[in-house]
Amino acid sequence: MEDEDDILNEFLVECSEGIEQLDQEFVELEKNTDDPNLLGSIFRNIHTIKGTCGFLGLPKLENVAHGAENILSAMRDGDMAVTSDGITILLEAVDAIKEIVHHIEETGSEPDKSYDAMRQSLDVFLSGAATESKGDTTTESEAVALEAMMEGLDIEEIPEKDSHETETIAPEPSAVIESLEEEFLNAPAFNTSPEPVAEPVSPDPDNEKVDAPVSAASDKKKPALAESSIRVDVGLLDKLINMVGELVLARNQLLQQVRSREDDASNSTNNGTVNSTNNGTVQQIDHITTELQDTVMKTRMQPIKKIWDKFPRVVRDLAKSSGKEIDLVMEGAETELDKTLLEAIKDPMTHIIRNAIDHGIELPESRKERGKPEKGTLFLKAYHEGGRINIEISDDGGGIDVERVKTKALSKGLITEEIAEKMSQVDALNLIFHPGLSTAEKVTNVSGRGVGMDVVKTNIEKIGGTVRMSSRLGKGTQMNVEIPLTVAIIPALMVSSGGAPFAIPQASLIELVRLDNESLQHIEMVRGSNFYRLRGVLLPILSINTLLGLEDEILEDEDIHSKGTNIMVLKAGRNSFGLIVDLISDTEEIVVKPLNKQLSGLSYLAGATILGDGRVALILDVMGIAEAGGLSGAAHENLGMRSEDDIWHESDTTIVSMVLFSVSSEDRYAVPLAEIARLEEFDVTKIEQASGQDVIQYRDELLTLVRLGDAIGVVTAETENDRIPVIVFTRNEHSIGVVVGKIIDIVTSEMHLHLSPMKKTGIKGSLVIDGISTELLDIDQFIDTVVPGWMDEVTV
Amino acid sequence: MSDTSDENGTSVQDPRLETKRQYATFYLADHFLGVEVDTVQEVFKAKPMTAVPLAPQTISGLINLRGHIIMTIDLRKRLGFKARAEEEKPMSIVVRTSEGLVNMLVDQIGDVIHVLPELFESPPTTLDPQLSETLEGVYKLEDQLLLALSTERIIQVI
Repeated sequence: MEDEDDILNEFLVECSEGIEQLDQEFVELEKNTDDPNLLGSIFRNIHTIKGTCGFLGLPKLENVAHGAENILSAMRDGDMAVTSDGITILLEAVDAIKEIVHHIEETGSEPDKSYDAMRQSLDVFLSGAATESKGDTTTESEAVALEAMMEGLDIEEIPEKDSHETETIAPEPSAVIESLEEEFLNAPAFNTSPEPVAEPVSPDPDNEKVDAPVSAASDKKKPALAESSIRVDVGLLDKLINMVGELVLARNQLLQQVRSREDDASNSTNNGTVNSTNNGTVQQIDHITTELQDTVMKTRMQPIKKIWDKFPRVVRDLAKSSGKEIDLVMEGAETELDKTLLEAIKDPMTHIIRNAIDHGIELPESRKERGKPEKGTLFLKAYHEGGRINIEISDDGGGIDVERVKTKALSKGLITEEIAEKMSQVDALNLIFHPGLSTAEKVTNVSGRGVGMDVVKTNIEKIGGTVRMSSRLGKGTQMNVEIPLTVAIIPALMVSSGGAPFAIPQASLIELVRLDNESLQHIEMVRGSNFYRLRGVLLPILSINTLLGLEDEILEDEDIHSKGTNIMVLKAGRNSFGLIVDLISDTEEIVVKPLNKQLSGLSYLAGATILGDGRVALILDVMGIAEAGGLSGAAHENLGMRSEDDIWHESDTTIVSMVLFSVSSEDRYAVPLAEIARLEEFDVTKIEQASGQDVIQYRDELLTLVRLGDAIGVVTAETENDRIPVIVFTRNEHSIGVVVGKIIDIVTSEMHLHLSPMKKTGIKGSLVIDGISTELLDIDQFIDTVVPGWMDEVTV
Repeated sequence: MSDTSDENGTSVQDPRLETKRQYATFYLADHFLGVEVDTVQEVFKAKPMTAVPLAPQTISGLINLRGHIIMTIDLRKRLGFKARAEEEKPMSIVVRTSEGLVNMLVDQIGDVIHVLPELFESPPTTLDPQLSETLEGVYKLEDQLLLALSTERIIQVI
């Protein structure tokens, strides 16, 4: 029984390898239709799958593979020309094979679905009988294939895999070690088949760039290859890496102990000789460990080619369906990076490429008009630099129209007009990464759904990478993705706060700020929220001790003034914020260790690590901290698992119409439409003073005006043409006007309110509207605060 | 160690069906408790640990056990006993569970003892549920009761 399973697993692994190759080979074949080597290789690939299927009792897979083989056989024998249509239908067959193989991997059996239709269309194509119906079949199934592809590419489903997590190995086709393609060619079915075997073609080394194994050539190479590489279980590798990680930690501890002993020894002169011998050994252990670590890390390294190999097919299909002509040029495909990272960047990269094809590269006609070659170029380049991997994805398409991005962002209420005017080109371009912004005029089935680039960015940042974009209108766009080589060991800044050690991944650290007592600048408090003016820009300040309930109450106003303050400026997605800690010590390379499930509910925690002195330090999740501090637009999660004193707790969800407005340019408030009487704009010059209050004549009455900005301590944004927006509230036929910065929009949104524990007067809580965190105004309370007694007056 | 449950092929689920079991015993607020000896990896004097802010109360923190980071559960808190006095230094029992190693803080370590299946009884219904839900059952030893803990249940929903 186990033997059988083994055979099946072996087969699946080989199949996956073969299929991966097929996509690429077909695309290549389309370019060089008369390349017999390529055709031969494809034929053998399919043939092997078919042959082994019969042997393992997989009739559906065999059926499809057989159909494809028949066409290939006709093509190879010259009975049929290699056409684009032919390749399309063969690629469909490959997709079907992929689907079946995938199903077998997951469940151990073939899917229930019938593949007779697929086989039939293959046969129909072969006989060439129903040429007129062919077109239909093709487009329809092409759509299906595309859809399937898109499902497969769903960018949001990138598994949030931690580096330290041991991965399941068996069913993952990508867990395959590449060098075994030779074995594949020699699968038993190949020789025992009744079909005529492809004649060995003369090796043509120049033509091998696609990696197409040519039988004669590979026969020669085979013994060497088979001896120089073995298939290794990924689980075993992970274990090895974990152990090396531990060794590194033990080494660090040893070094520390030796150093402290050295210090002791320097006081007594006697045992100097003993020490020097010891030191030699320790140094050797140190060196060997470092080398071992580097080497073991390399075992997890895979060339980026592994994921790039899929792109020719993606590009071909997309180009074909959008009527564009695109050349895919890849450089540096041999650049290696950690397997986990490789998997993590696969979907973001695919997304960027699809974007480039869909929105970037123009149709041939418009390219011609602009004096560009009709064929667009998509250029991928990967290289190592400074211990990181750089990936460039550039196209020579239309580029991004910054003005259009701004307009779009304006119309979606993501930015205000003033901001749009002041915005730099780079900032405007970066709006692309804003959730809910899609500049495609036409929403295609490929992209333009408005989710995408923000997810790309988030996912890249999750693995400690960065994404930059540059674009020149009419010339093209370039994306630069920079990611670390590995995630198992990360550089981190060690700090301590509330007496406990913490590690902050260096990737999220922007800078460190130290405020001493004499410093003129200090942290300013606005209604319980703290800010610091960092080069003129307000930086929200959080304190780790407050957030985590640690002892040192540094946020007490006196404390801030009484002693120095360490602020780490951190970035969490689009936001940056300052985090106050007690002590900042040093940067260190740390090994991320997983935590027990019971602690996974703590969003501020990314893991733990062991320090040189053997203590355990907690690794902070910067994103989680930002969320806990209410800084992120993303949904706030429970910071802890405390039940009675929840920091956030959610009330019921209802759908409500709300007026969105801002006071300064950076904030957003909402008030339920039902609570307000009117929205007005008043001329500033008409404002009069009456008993110390701003008033204005409004409908034959004096309307008291209160400025929301003054009450909450925010500078009200300047308005043009001296007109100020006012929200008029009426209670018992008395009205009051609240001056705001700008009325943004009226929206109908789910009222998914997060109540804040540090209840700010006049604010009920915060909600997320269109992905932006918005404060919900408690209007009655607010008015009661700024005009005490008014509410009582009117209710009398 | 030779008389493990597997020899007569009985289920581990129901201790009554087994001939003899070995328990690593310990004391907790004057109670006599035990976990199956097979689950125990090691025992040592509790060492300093890193507290995890905002974690459930029963989780005292994380320790470094030769490069492994292990969660520590204070059994007193977990089972609903009153907290240990400051000056009392707890002992650590590291047990293997389905979720990896877990360190349990107890007051004092006892012997490894053999218990006979006929002494076994399900947890009395009158027990505090916080305690009884973590018990496999009770062994009625001659001089005292041995509360047989289930490590799996201890690590559940804390």
